[in-house]
Amino acid sequence: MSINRTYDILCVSKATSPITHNRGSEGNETIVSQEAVATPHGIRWVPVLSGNAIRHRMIREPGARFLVDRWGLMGKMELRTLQFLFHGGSLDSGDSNESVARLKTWWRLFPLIRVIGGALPNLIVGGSIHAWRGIMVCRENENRLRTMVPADWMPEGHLLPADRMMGRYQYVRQDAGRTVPDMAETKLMALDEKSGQMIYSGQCVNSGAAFVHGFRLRSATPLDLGCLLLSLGLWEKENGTIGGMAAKGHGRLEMLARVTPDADQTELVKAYAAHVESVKDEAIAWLHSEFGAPREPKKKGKVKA
Amino acid sequence: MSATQESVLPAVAPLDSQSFRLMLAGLFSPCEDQGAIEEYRSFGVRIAGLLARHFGPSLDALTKWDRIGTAITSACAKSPQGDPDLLLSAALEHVKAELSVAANPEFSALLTELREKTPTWREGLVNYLQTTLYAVLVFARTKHVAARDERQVERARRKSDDTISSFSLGEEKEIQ
Repeated sequence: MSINRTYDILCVSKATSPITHNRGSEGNETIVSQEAVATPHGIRWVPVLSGNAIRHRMIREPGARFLVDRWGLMGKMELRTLQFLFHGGSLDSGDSNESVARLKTWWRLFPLIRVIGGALPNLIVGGSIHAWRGIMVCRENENRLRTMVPADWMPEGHLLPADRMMGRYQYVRQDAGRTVPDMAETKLMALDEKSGQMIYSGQCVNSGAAFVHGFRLRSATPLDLGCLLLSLGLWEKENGTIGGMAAKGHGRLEMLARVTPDADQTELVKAYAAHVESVKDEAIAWLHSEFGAPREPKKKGKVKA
Repeated sequence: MSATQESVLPAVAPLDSQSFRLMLAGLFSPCEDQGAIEEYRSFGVRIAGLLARHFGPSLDALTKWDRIGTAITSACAKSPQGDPDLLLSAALEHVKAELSVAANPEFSALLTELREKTPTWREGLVNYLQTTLYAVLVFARTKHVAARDERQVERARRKSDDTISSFSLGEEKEIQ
């Protein structure tokens, strides 16, 4: 019998490459996502990682990939099924069907969705997780950080101000007419064209900066916790990133985590993986019944003579 | 589930107070004690003064303080831990100081005093130099100019004394 309880997962992540978790752009420059913090010296704006981004990148995506991999579903799902697993699904049917029995089946088969929530076409349910925002380890956040970590963990002294951990990047999108004109159909034509070179730049959080973040799992079973820990482990193992420009090497974080109350992570993860294996057939059938089975490819008719 | 699949299940690296502090290393301001800041300033001024006195004759004297600024920046980048030997050598090399600087008792005193400081203090010095370079240069230049003026006054006074004494000697000769 599983026991439901509350778990806190405290994480600290250090940037091992520039972080470009952006809020938008101004002209040609991207601007890092920031939040206003009231400090003893007034309001200051400091970089932040949104809880939404953390929840998606660190839990939902690696967790869903694990299910697809273990259940052999690669290339065998309708778009709606993928939407449900990777983006939470959407409530697009007018008639709601809030059956407790249906919900229990759903939760039993998908601890991942029980943790992060999701929507079937006619039923939407919130998850048991509260994802914290990623709070930058900086002077402006000192008071907040002291409430997030155990009292005796924070070293003496003052943290560096956030501004010291902000930097800039700049890249150039080259123009093929200039870099490889010899490969163009007509050399001269390529050179005559207006240059397509573009310089783009923006703010970033420097490598070495750290963020404290975490999760609270409410009324969770050990399977839920195992699911969460496995997802975090997969994200870390597969060089998971946060924010944009991962293709250029941005967004890499090195993460450490602490579970309260203390739990044997290895056993929890193994138990969750075994559970996923045990419900494989039932879960696939459930996905097909809710979202429809993948369509068979059309058979080609005989070619008339 | 196969044993192979189980063995590759990843776990998250554990977090405790020690690993937390290691993670935060370098994110703390090394020292904000006013007394220490005064001491950093004093050392910064002495280092910049040493560079000004041993500014290479092959360099353009008009670029002296620009060059001293880049010498300090470059030395701090080469020695973020504030290793005294490397810090001072790199800075002196940048201003093309002659090797005769070794005979300067101020250089020797700076080296000895910096070596006696703790690694944390030296990191604090580097951090101070990096963050307040302009102010350090202003203080150093003011002190350097004052010392130069003092030397000029002293030279003028000696010259004047020499003239008076030779004049006096001449008078005595005439009387005799």
